[in-house]
Amino acid sequence: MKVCTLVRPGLPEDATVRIIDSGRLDFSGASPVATRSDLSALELALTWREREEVYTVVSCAIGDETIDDLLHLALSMGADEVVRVSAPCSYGNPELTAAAFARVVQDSGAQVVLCGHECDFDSTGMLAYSIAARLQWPVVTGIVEVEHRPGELRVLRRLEQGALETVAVRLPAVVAVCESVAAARYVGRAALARARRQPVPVWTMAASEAAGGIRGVESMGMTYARPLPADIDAPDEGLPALERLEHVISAGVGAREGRLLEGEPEEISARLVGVIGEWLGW
Amino acid sequence: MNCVWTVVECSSRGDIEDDSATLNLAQDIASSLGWSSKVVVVSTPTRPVDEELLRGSGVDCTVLEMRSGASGDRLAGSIFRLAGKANLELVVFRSSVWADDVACRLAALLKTSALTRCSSWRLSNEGKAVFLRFVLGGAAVQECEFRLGPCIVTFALDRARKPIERGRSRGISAAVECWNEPSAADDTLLRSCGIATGDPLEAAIDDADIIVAGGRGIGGEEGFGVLRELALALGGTMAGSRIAVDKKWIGRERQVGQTGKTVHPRLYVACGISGSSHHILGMKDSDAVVSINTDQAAPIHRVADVRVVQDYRVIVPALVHALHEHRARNRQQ
Repeated sequence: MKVCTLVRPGLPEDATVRIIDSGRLDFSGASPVATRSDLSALELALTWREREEVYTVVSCAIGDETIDDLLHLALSMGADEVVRVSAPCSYGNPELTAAAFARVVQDSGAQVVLCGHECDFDSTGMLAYSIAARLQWPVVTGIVEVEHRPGELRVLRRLEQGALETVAVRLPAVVAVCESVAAARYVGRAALARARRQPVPVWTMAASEAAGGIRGVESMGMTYARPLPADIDAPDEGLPALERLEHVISAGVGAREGRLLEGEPEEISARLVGVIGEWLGW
Repeated sequence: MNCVWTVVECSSRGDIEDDSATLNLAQDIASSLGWSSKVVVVSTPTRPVDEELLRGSGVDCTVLEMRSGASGDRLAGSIFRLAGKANLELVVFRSSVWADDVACRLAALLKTSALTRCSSWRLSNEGKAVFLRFVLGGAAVQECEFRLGPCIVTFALDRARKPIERGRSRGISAAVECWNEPSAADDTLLRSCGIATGDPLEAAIDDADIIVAGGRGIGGEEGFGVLRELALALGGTMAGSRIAVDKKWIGRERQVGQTGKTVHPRLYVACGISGSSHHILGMKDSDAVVSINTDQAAPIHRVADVRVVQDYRVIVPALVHALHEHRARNRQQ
């Protein structure tokens, strides 16, 4: 069985990002690094291969030759095959990335697509859904644990309030994972140097093919985020001093009913359970 | 006429008040663009709608009755089928893990993209809707426009209840129509095998329904272990005042107050918290507040619906025991 993983560029933690006049991001001073959740996805695929649950791990990156280093990193981690799609895709366009990546998956004959849920340049989380729609495969996202079973994957998905949902997904499938799914292995300089000597196969995607049928979103520009003003609560200047003082102490919040529960702890607890049950509709 | 749909999940009370901010925002967009608006309320067997409450809200609704739970895959398919030939231009959700999942699936079905976690919107000079969202960890704001409709957008809005603007609705007795989920054909590809309650220390406090918070009166990290039991019994999450955070009894991301986070849960249990104005500003929008503090004069009692003037070390274990007994009794019945 083949697993296809995607390695997208991200920004190093210390990168200085500037917004230039046209409202576009300028991060020319920073060399792109691999997105951490994508590396976690690759690590997961490599673990499966080591357990002989899969046979081939393919890693793909989309862009120009400046991102070859990301594929060298994938090779040095243990990926069997790499491919770079030379496509006119701008960073952070999930539709174009999905179009290119779906073609690679179809050509490679992979049965599982593993990628990170989000990346620096696309935080919508849309990519996995777009790939799945193009391949007509089921998709699960925000995954923190994956168990490989014959013909299906059992995944653990994080929901609100810390709840975890177990989902069974029939293969072939697209799985977008969180960084916590696996810690990417450390790669030594020697392994990286060996990987750099290997050529990276390049597949070119025509502009018309990449853009075909895409209706998606267009970024109109960027601005620096301004800090929100603090929620300042000030008493009315016309109030007497004592009332202003009271207002400051109470933060302007009116007093509530304040029903006092008295008695033995067991008695208070039983009444509290009743009151809470009423509030929460138990 | 172009149409804006707002998709909301029915609350456990059977109404849509938790999504009032989303409804108002969608109504604002529809009015500005001269489009019609429609509200789709998702109802499940565990969260059925109360039609009287819906009519009382004054908003015309279509209730989408999901007979077998509202998994993202199934719900997106149902909304897609419900949309049919409607001239759908914009679908708005309040951002959550559930809503972002449904929005992206719906976008894929409609062969468009979804914009998740938008913060606001504005009208462009050409009279089109431009959506704003924070990117790069909040360092920049990106302005996005859809090339072609329909636009699928989720907004990161709070759940503070505000009056719902009635806009184009018919007034106090609004129309409520029901639409049943036609089939659940996708079960063979994607199947939910159950949901487990999470660790109270892992769930974020921003959107929490139930919060158990501790302050200086807790006395140490081990005191938060006692509160954790209560949070587990209530199915809630944990928070702390500034003092508890400064003393490293609980993580900074769990600080409630003016220098921390503003929360608006349905239940806020304050244990050993004196209730300084800075803290109260962060939790004043809670639906119900229980204060447990040995100091009768503590300001937190002033904003509480129920006061208990006793030591939390005595009350909290007794309350946990009573909650477990209550659950056991309910299970037997």
